[in-house]
Amino acid sequence: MRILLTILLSLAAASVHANTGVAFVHGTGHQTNAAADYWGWGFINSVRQGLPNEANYVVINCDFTQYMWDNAAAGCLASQLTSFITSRGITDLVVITHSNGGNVMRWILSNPTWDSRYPAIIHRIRWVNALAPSSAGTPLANAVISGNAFESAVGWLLGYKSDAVRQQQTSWMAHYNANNLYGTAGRPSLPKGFWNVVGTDVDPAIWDSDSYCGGYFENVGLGATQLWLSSCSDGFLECSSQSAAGYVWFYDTSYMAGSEPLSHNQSRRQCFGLDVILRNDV
Amino acid sequence: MTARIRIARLALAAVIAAAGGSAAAAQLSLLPAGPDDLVAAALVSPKSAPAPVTSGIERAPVQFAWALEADKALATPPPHVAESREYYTELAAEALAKGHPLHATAPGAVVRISPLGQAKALQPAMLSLSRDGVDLGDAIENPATAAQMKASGAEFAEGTIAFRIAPQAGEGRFLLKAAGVSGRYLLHVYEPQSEWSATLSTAADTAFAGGTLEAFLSLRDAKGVVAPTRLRGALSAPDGRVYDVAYASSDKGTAVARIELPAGVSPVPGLWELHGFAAARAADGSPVLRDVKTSFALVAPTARLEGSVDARRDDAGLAFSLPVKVAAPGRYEVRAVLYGTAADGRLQPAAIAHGAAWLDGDGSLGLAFARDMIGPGLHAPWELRDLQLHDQARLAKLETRAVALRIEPEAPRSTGPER
Repeated sequence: MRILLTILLSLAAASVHANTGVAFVHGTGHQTNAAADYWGWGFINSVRQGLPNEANYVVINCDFTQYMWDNAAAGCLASQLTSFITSRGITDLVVITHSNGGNVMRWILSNPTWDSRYPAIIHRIRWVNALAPSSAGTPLANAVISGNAFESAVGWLLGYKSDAVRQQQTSWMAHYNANNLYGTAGRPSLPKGFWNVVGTDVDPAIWDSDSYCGGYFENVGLGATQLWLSSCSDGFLECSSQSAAGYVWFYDTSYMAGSEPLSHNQSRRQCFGLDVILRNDV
Repeated sequence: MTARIRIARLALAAVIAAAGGSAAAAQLSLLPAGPDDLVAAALVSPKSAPAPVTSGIERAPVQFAWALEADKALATPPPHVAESREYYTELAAEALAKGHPLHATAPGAVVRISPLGQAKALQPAMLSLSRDGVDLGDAIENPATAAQMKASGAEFAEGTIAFRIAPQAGEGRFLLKAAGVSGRYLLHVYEPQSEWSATLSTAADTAFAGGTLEAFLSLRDAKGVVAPTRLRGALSAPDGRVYDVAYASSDKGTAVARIELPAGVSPVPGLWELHGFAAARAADGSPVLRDVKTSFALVAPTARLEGSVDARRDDAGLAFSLPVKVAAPGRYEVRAVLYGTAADGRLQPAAIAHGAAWLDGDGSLGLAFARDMIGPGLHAPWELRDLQLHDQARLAKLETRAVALRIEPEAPRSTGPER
């Protein structure tokens, strides 16, 4: 299906001289320099080589510690996308999201009347490549937020105070998927394609050089947090969450060099040829 | 079928089915709400309406629609059923230093200990695990620090330690000790392989403030539902309020809580969380604990659909205008899916439309389905399904109709007496 869409869109783009751009949308966190701190310039520069005009890219920097609908989250994303589309004359936009960035993007796609800027953004999007999106939340968010509601009056408030983490609790995402977001089973499809890249495992072996791509320390941590997750996970998200909305584009081991899995940290880095696949897609 | 509805259907049939380019319009009524539809009995008084919980609310009216995949069946998701194989408990440093008995119902339990408040941070070397006086140091598998887990995106409290009890150590009673500790700690035990689980669900995912909500809590082992020896519950609001919830065991084993919901919604955004705690005894007499929680939206009925619909067809497509009764100024939105009948006679989704506007008082909201979004192979009967009214400023779903309108084919013309 995606191949057919690619052919059709290529023909359409050729006929109307589309001006293609790519946007990189980070995950949970308050980013001020996501190109360096979140993605890595190697990844960004590699992907944008696929653009007819390599200058047509934007790296989003927003406060995704907030709820997805917040002005600092979706509002900020809409501002930066609108500015990019306007200033560069973008008519064909590929959006690359990671983790919770997929939820913020899906908020815009699912709630086009929330903000008068949303429709113009949606119209220009070709599709969203969602790298390890947390579409159904994660049990880790449950664990980070939860305490003991019975033995401590403040127990349930323990730990992380980020609204974005609260939002990514599994029961919360189930609610938002059923009421405020589209693309999950039984719900209307999104107005534009939402294509998932699913990370299936973490390889934190100290003797394996592949474990060092994206940072060995991070992969060790993901090996630990994987204990809370099902057997198919990238260390932060179960495969079922990563594939809950939209369509599965591919599972990591099917296309990564050496059939390597992508941990949650590696699916936003220049690891195992992911950047080349994304480059060839824009 | 009531005469009013029949007349409305025939009128709109003329609107929809008339060939040619001339515009047509009709006033219709929404179909009666079904048992699972959300409908407010009364609106809040304007003076008691909650303030918006979102900032930078859009003021410009916006409409948007897109075509849906005809072969993708749509269904209203049932309320979420939360499932738990875990529990939390608080421990004093003295109890941890002396040794806390940890009863694992299955091999491979994942254990996390987090300092509370000013409690001393934990290090892997401070922990020990034993059984029947025999040290099982090797059973503390791959202990991870808060820093390591934070690097992975899971920001547990500073000083947290997590590890797995090596599966080869089996299940049963362990003694968990921590040396050099002070203060209080949160113990979280997750047993992914356990046959013991608790489930919790609510009858609806959205409820009105001051109303009631039923919740269902079950504890199960490998054989089925187990009667808990102890049940507790709590309801927590996004703003920090906590209420007790009482579950009562039923004949079928599932405990039910009929919750009288607070009259006031939360002034800060977020979902309300319903917690359940169940305890039982395993066959060997060891305690089994499970904590489970789910979430739902508690909303104030700030607006409702009036019940009439102005339908219009012209060269641009098909449009609906829905009057809305408004108790509190805000930005309101309607959304609905248009179904059409395919050649094989099946109804299939054609397109979805949203329409929003700021309403200071009673007004109307529009849905527009452009002609090119409606598949050429579709024809009457048409249906408007999954109609919803939302209060965007307060993040609240206010009203739903699984089936809101049905538009029959144009009736054959008759020259005889009116039927």
